[in-house]
Amino acid sequence: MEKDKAFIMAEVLNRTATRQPTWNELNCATEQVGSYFLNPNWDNSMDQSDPFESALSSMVSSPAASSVPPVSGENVLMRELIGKLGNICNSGDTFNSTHTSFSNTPLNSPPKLNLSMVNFPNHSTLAPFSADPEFAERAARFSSFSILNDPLMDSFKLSGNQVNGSQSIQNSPMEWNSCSDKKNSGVSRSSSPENAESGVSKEESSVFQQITARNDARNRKRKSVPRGKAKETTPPAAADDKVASENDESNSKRSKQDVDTGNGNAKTANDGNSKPPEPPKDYIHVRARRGQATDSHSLAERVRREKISERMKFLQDLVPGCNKVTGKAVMLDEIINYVQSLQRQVEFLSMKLATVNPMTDIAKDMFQSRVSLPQGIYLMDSSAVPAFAFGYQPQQGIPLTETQFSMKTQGFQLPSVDGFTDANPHVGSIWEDDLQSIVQMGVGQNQPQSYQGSIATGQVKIEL
Amino acid sequence: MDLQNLNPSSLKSRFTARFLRALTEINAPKTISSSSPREIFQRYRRIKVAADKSMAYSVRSRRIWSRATLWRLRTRSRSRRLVSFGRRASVKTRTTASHGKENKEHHGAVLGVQAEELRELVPGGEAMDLCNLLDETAHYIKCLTTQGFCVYMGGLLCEGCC
Repeated sequence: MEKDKAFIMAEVLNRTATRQPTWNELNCATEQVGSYFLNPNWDNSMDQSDPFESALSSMVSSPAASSVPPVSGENVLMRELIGKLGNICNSGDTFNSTHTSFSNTPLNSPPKLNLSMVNFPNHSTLAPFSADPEFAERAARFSSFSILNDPLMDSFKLSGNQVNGSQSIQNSPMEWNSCSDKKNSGVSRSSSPENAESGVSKEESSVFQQITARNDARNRKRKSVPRGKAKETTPPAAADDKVASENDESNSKRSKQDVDTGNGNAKTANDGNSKPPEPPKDYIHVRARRGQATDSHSLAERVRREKISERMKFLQDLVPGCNKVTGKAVMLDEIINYVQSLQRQVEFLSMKLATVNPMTDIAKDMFQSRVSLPQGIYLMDSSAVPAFAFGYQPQQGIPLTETQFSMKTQGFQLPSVDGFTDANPHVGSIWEDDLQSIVQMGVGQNQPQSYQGSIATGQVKIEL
Repeated sequence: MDLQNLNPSSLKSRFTARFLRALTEINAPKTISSSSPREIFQRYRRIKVAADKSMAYSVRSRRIWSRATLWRLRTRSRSRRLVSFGRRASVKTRTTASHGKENKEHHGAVLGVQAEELRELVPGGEAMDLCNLLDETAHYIKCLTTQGFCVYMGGLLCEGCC
């Protein structure tokens, strides 16, 4: 299977020189897709997976719809996908949104692509790669697609995995991550491109499966026999020996986890070449590592562990200051502290609201003009919201310093607020001023300050 | 600060609209003279409930914690009414389908203590396995920050307006 992918890559590179003019339009298309990721809306994340799919399918199908010969059309599609992936990997700040959109899609239903590219002919000619350094860099990043088996690919210095063609490639994102973690690729990757790319690798994998399904006659080297799958076999020629050594290093054998062995509905390479791959809905394909048990229980455990660690990573990004923390336990402690402080903060703020003297007509004005009010609130851009938490600074193992505000006129104590730190100087200073004013308000409860005139609600601005 | 990414249907706007409406209902009948600590405390409770409820309503039932919050608020208000008649309603959080309990045994030992604490913090977290719990926590954190932010801004506005 690596050979097939390598082949496609080879073909793509071949036609790079001839298809230069189309690269620009592909990039424009990818920008459009990228804009889908730049919309960090949790609520719409469920819906955004669909725009992504539709964008992808539209992008995929649009060049195919154009009047190009089918052979080159496929390569254009391939390059599209690779270009798009490259853009995704390049833009690290889209990680959160892509991650949210992908974490919300259930594992068992990867998106369906309406690919119209179906006829990949059997290429039997190998042509030398054109020197495309940008493409080489991108291809090196995508070593999770296990591009191997060609002496021509050695220049990319990729190490691949054993991939059994019969296995369907519909892995969950974490499996791609796990197998890519062990590769000896020369490219150092941060976790975000991995996640972004692995999220996309589901769509990618369906594409690749189509490709590999066509090339049954390829020689492939396999380490383990999958259960119940007929496969191409024979050890490759001497030309593949170099790559074989790489295979040994990264050594993972793929095993399939069948909840329902009686089904046997996993993809074989002999599946109908004319229909798009149907994602298996009732079991998850897992790749087992060398030296690890391959029974279904431990596989399921591993999948769960990887899911949990993926979510922990996401939480690590949410909670400020958790980048240096290693280990789940400490991370969880930090998360607990953060949630507690957020809840206390909401309590504190609502208390503050309660102490403000009720305003009658102005409140009604606010209510009537509440359409403009959210705009006033948006004047603080969304990046300020995460920094909102009163200069929250996680302390590892050290109890948080707490300052307690007690209003004299009231017998009860306000919920304590975490200590102000210099971590967020802008935010911290604002909160300090504001809290001082609160204390003043609390003390001077019986003599409310009255401001002359009313401030128009739409003109409230906070300058950071 | 750019106004380009205003989303009228985003979490912020939905929460803000609801919260403001609740605020006006709370503040409207009061007169200026009511400034005793008890009144203020009552008002604080109502504002807090309004904030929580409006946040939970903004999320609807898409999340387990929002459903749990709404359920808890409803049963609390119900039980408060019933207590006056001498009955005590048993407040029990509704348990969602707890699947994967057997998985907890494998991993639960490692993170048991913190997972329990987190379950107490996140509403509705008692009946979730760790995986979903972390999902809910992430969304809950995001909504809490939005809530605090909007309450703060509302407070500033009210303070500035009076």
